[in-house]
Amino acid sequence: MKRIGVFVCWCGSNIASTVDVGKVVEAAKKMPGVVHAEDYKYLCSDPGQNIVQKAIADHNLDAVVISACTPSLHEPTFRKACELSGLNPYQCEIANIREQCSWVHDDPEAATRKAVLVIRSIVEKVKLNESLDPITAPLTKRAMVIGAGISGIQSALDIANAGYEVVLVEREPAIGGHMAQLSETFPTLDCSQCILTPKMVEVSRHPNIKLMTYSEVLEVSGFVGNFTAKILKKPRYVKEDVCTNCGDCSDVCPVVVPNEFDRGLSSRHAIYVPFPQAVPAIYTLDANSCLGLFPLACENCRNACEVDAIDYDMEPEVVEEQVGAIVVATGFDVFPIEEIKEYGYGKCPDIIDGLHFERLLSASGPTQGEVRRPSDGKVPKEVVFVQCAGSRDTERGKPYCSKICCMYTAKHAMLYKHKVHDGQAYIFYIDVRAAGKNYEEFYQRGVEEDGTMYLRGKASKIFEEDGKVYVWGSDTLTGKKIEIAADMVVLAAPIIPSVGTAELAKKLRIQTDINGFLSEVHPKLRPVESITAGYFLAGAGQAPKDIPEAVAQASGAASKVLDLFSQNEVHHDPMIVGIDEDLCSGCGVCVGVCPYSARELDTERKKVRVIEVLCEGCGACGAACPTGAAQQRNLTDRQVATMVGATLDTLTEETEE
Amino acid sequence: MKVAYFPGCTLKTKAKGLDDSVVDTARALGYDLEEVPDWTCCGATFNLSVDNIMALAPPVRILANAQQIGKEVVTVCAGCYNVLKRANYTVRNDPEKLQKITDFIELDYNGDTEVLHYLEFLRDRVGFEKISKNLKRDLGELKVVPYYGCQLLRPHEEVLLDDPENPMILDNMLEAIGCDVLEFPHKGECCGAFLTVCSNLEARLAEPGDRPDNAVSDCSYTIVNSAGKRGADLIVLSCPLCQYNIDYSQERIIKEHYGFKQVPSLYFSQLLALALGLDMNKYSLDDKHHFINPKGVIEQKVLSQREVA
Repeated sequence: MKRIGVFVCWCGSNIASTVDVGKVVEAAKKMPGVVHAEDYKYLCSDPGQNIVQKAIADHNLDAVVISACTPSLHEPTFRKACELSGLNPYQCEIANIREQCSWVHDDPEAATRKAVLVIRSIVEKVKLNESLDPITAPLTKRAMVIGAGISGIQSALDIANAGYEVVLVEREPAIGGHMAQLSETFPTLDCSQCILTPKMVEVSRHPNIKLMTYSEVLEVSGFVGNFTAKILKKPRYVKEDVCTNCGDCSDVCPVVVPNEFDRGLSSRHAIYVPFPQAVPAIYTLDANSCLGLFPLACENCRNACEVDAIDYDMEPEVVEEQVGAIVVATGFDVFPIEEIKEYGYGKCPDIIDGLHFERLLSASGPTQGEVRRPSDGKVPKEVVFVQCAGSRDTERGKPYCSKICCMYTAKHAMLYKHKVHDGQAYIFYIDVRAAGKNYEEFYQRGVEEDGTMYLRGKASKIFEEDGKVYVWGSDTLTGKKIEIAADMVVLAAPIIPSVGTAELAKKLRIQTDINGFLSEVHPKLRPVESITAGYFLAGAGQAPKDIPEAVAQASGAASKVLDLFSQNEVHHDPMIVGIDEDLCSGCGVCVGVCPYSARELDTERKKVRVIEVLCEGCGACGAACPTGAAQQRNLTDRQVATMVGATLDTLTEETEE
Repeated sequence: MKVAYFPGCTLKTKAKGLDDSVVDTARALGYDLEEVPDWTCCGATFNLSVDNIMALAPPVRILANAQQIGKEVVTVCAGCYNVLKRANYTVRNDPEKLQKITDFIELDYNGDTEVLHYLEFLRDRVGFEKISKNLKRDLGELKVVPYYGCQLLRPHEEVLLDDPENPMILDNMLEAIGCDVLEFPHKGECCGAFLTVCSNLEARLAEPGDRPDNAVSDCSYTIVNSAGKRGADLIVLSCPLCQYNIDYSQERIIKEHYGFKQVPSLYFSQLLALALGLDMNKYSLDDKHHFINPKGVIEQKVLSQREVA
């Protein structure tokens, strides 16, 4: 028979004001198997833990029941304390008498009775608890980062600088992501490319970084510490190690298609580099826009290439990489704003989105940084910016705030005025959200020094007439209807997860939220970890965020990877669902319901095998198992039955009294 | 093939040309539109007091009677369409109300009559491709803007004809009959609707020089002025009330806005009749039914041209 100690916490007045702690202790002392019971004001404090540790030694306890707050808060605290006293941590259980008792009841007498019941059932449970040891598995100290925008670059550099190898995978021909497209950055107005390109170069030169551009992750198998990733290297039809980036091939290419990097505001050839500072500085032949490779329609580029870098027979290649941790930094895209018809996007070339405007402002953009409108190249004298063009719109756009638009729009209006001195910028806004270091000051500067006119209200309709772009809207501060005959309109369209995020998440077996952004374990306390162990999140793929925040999160993710790599093996919670082979009939039902692929059927032996490191102990298999062979460790059917039995016994005793 | 048809009051009076052109074009395309037996006024506006049994009784009665002919009823007046569609939506989602109404009108109805606008009928039952193949006149010289008004489109979840911010069904139909369809941002803008009643009354009561602002002509001005600036020969619509407001308010607009260009308007079915080679003298394209008669531009740009095939 186990010797059990019960410790009842007051939690200041949180528990003690509703539950009569003294009575509970007296009741606990009478419970079968309990050899010691006491109470303390704050058990989680150092003296509180000392009381538990001392009692374990003094009374030679085999198991401990802590009656306090929810186990999701202090279970690790008390298990650690037990471990220090030489008790197996899994012999410590928490009876939640705060969230599930004192906080939700106001009748002290009934609450006290309930607290006794809760403790009684946990005492019964702990009697049958096994002593468990953490499950361990080997650890590959090598990381993969998916997406080479600013977040992916930062994570890769941090991990690589700490001495570990990183595979950095990017689906585009060049790295840099959206940050490479931006002109100047708020709130300092420093050139985006100027601060980004040194990092891009560092990535390309770093001995610990294996850069794979124009590549996509096809499949990831395995588990934390032991992933195998299959990566597709798309053929760029240019030998990476031979190309000298001279550009002779592009000069002779007859194909002209819109340049995605300039958001279609300029054109490129079928063989191209997206922008002058591209890393890697290698040309890529886009087979979709080429006149034809199979059969070959034109050989201009191969004929022009002096170093014979062009290889039309290049095949897609699948590469396998072994890694222990994966950072997902897949970034964002801009919502297809043509879906909100009244904004007129797509009908008039002078109605553009914020990312287009970045390209117009950029010195390396289609207009070399002069603000000229796309339709006729005229310098626009009046520009209307519309914030929340689809964000915070529950009906047709996105319900959330895209977070970065207030600041980039303030920046756009400012930069526009710096370039077009006699121009006027108007901004339709609902709220100006300028929360960030030096952000409010930046926004105020736009209003005071650059004369940006803020109009509080939504634009209701935008259309072209007489070569002007008319914006109808309301000013909710004056209650008046507004019509502005502008030369150009810039829409702050919602930020959405980058195209393909959902498919990738499925391949990686990681979770996304209702808006398609990658889900973190805990929104406040574990914001850079995915729910699936071994995956870490960085950048705007998790939620809309600006550059400083993306970089901070990327470094956070990298440090989590390094934390993992600081161990020599992977540790896993042993509270898994095992298998009793004597009872298992090999039906395989549990294999199908397991969301973590932790169970597999041994067809020869007709038994199910559990891959312990993969099991998260969710219990789905236990519920599905028809024979009771799948039992959750320390929460077996027998334990649950005794818990229920003890509760009923106590209730019966109460009635008899 | 026989199809139930609900014309509504206006089509028998002011909008006779709409009625005649719908029936004749349907016949030319192989369909007999047969009027719903014993039809009455639809109720004219979908009443704001939705509990009022009198608001729902007439449209439900029409929907029930239409089943003597078939499961679908075609209508064309935007007002009637709006009322029938919304009444149907209401009773389909409220069995108790349906029971009350059917008890009151003493007819069986379970909500399964489909209300089709003639445009929907042309698109989904006849097919725009088929229409394109049967064209007898070339409308390629006609620059037109489509005008939907509000009742065809809103409230979207009840009416469900097309996207309320950028509807395309009329655009596509006009393209199918060969018109030069211009991009028109004001195609769903309000024409002033029933304000026409009060503003005319107020105008008559007020002293000269002290007339109240005319809400209708303000609304119409935006629409017609934009159509004129875009070079439209015609504004094409489907609602008799819109037609009245768009057309007759130009009398006042022209006095108040220097340089305003008048634009005639007509119903889409009249233009369809023209394209199908029907006799255009039959469809009320005259000064009695129009402030600005569209006949002139049709004569000049279509009828004076050689007929195709």
